Amino acid sequence: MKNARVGTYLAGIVFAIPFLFPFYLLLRNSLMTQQELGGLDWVWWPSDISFQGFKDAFDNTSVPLGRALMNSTIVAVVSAPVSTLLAAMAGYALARIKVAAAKPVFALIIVTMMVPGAATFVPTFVVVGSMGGVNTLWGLIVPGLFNAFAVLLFRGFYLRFPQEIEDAGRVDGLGHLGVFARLALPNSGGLLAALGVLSFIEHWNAFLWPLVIGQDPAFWTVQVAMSTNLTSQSINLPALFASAVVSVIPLALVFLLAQRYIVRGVMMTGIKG
Amino acid sequence: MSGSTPGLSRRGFLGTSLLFVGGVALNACTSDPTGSDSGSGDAKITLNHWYHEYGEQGTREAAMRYAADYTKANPDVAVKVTWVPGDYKTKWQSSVLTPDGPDIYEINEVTPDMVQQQQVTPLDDIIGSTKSELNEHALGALTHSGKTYGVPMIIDVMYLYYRKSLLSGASIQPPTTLTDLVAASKALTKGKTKGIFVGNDGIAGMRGVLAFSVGQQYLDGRKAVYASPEIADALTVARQLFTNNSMLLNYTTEWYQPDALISGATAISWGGMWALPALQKQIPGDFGLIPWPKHGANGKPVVILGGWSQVVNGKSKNIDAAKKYVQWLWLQNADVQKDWALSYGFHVPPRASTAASATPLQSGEAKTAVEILNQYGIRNTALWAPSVQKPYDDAVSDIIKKNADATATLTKAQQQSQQALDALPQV
Amino acid sequence: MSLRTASSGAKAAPRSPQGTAGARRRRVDWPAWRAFILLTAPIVVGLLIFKYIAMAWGFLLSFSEARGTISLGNWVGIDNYRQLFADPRFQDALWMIVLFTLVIVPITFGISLGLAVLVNRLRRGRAFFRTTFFIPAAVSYVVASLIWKMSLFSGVPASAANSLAGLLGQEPTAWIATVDPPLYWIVIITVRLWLQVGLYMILFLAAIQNIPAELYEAARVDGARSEWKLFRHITFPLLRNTSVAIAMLLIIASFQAFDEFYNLLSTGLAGAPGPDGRPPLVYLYDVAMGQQDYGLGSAGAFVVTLLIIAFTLTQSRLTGFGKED
Repeated sequence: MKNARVGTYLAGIVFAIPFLFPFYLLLRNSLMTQQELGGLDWVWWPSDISFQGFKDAFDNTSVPLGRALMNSTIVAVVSAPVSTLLAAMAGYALARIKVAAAKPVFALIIVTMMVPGAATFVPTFVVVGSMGGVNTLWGLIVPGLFNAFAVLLFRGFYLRFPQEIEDAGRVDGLGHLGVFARLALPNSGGLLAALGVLSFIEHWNAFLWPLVIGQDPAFWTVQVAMSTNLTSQSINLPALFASAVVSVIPLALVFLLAQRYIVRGVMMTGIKG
Repeated sequence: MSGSTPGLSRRGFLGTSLLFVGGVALNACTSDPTGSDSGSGDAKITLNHWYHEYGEQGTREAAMRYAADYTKANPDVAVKVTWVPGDYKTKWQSSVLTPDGPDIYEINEVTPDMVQQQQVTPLDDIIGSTKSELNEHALGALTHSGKTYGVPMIIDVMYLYYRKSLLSGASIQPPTTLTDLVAASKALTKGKTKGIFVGNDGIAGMRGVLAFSVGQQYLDGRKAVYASPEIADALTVARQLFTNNSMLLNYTTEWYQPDALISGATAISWGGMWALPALQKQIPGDFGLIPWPKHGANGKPVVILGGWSQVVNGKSKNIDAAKKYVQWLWLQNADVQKDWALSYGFHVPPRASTAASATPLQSGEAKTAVEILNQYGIRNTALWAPSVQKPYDDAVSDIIKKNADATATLTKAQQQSQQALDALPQV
Repeated sequence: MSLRTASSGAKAAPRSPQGTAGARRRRVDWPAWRAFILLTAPIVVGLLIFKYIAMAWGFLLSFSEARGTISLGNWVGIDNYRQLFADPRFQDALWMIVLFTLVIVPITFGISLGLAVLVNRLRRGRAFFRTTFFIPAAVSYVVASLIWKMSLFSGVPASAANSLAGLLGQEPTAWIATVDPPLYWIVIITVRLWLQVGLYMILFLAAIQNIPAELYEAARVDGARSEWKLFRHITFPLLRNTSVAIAMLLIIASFQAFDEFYNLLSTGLAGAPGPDGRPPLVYLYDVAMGQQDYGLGSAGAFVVTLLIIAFTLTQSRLTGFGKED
């Protein structure tokens, strides 16, 4: 029995190494100099730790990293709460307000889940483009705000929302909107947090849509900026890795601080998806 | 889903306030995204001018300086310089679809689609009599039915660089035929140094030269003609570079940076004239340059002539202002043209009189480069559009990387290229 | 799949006030309508514009010649579809993604299940190991591609893979540029594994932890001694629903692969990657954004979408996914 336990831990450590190794490379490379990194021999750790890469990454005027980080922050900070809130609103209405339109509207929303977002980037680009959305922040953000799947989850959640609470609100003179805003929404914290955090991660890491819609460097997100640096005319390797470190840190923090919600969100969206 | 903890409502509130902050930021940012306007708050017209990223130090500052100078002379017109690294072509192409695309941008060639979709406008009126002075190859890629749609800014020359010390150390002469090149690369591959570098995918630099190196062409007017036995043979020989382990692949930087040559990762490298100053600084005296070697009985050495030209967006709201700016910058202002071509990396000014008076090009390796350019320089016409080129590129990849039958693969690709050519509008 | 889940959600609504709603249905409840419209309008309008109109427009555009433009009008019938299917490169792209799916899905499935079982058996330090396996999910495909391309699998002798190969006396290898044999598959498979395994491990872990401990006790009493037997006869069968769901999620994700192919395999300034390693979305990106043929690009988008839908429907039909058991 004891041997088995030791074996399990050993296996855990053996598997953990390849999962952690890329992080080590990322960090090591960001602290090296261009010369050291372009060398032909393996190095375990830079002989002199250099922060030049970080300085270069932010000083690079062609690929404005500060600007890109700000764009990504705006996109994720706006998209996560707005898309979650919109889904909660619709989910509540579909679950609790009995009108004849509920069924067709629900169907209209749900059917869009059949059409995968990435596969249809060309038609979406065509529409957003003809509305003047290329190289704009709204073009970057708005098409990603409507998450039918989250509507489905919120609808399921509000279907199980206790009738007594709604009734109590009615007695206090609240209408549907009042019940939603004052009672239902404040009691959906767990789901809001779980979906909000997931949505934040998704938007921060999104690549294809930002690549397609933000052609002007002023509208690049941090992912597009890094991808551009990978094929740029003059590659500064330490700066490339330094900017990757900078882009990973916010999400790593979100991960460590909100792991509980992420796990819950993954379980809900994953299993039911 | 036990999320009915009342304490969490604060989080909901937090989310909503973040939303407001985000909204404010959103509004604050849309007004002036780059902040790289050339100043002049009271300008009536703002021209949006796009450049691809020139790798050389100081080019971006120079572009912005020219723009500022223009505004100083013409206070009504502000110029916003947008500097686009990475896959520039995709980016300008998608941007000119929109009403707010660039007014002026630079391109390698004007395709018939661009003319039909009014992404460009004829510039003959501003070019005028200067036309006779401009390089004919450069103009060829900009001209349809006698109308010229762009002003050449610089001519780039691409050829092979080699490390003199490595070649003489192995008693190898600079190769003059493709077969020699294969043998030399093999002999130069030692330890951590590879023989040749043409790009990280093992193809980039070779693709465009092989037809010319056997004395043939890719296109003959509106006909794709690259499926010839000679070109097939050149590809088969070139494949040996890829298979005999003498080619540097997946290096960290690309061929347009001379890093692989400087670090000693390769002995021979495809490269551009723009890299000359960097090489002169880093490995002075230890490098030489040659054209891509010939192959076969009718073959001849090749240097590829590339370069950038300025066009005016036909859908621009300020076509006339944009034309005047282009005229001032790239036709009237000889100092700018010289500065742009020679102060940062080396390029050849497209105008004969300017090129002739360019002192940096009169000596050393630069002189050699200009001489072989004049002797062997060549490039494809404007009909070599992306859709025409794609089947050829894919065929080359199959032949070189996967040993596909050269003749059959080229023949099939040529049919597809022909279809794409036929689909190009007549303009 | 979603439709079924939806109906099952509706069934699980024991407390919804069916009766009162039925009585109220006769006269129009204006406040309810107003609230309903206010709450659903944003998402309905959004989906109408960015899904329905987009699809309709794209559909019309797929019957137009639209090169260098996104406006309709130059009708060419089914030419775009004909051209698409005549292009062997498009067929290659479709085959490639099917093959990629067949490889990546079982491997991800196996490793994430294995890690979930492993983490579940750890008493101390479980949080550490769970976080270790899960945290790559915080990293974007762009960053991972950067590490893989420039450091782990770069062609220089100093890259991690080549240094290891050097220890074993091997020559440095160009992992990404070598397509025959397809060494680049090692690169694209490992990068996706690293990024997505943790996510599915979490799903498996949650499902495993939901299995009542008594079942194992009972099995042990019945003589199932080895861990493997317990896994085969208890854990795995009880994970059936989770397994089917995960397989489907993996398939859909795999069909939409773009990020790592674009970032790992595109070379130089030419944009999209060469013919090897060009899955459908990269093909479409090249057609639409590179060659500026939005008609052909839209046609391709519909073909790929139909393929994903067909795959998903077949899969859910075969496995009976979504049915409550």
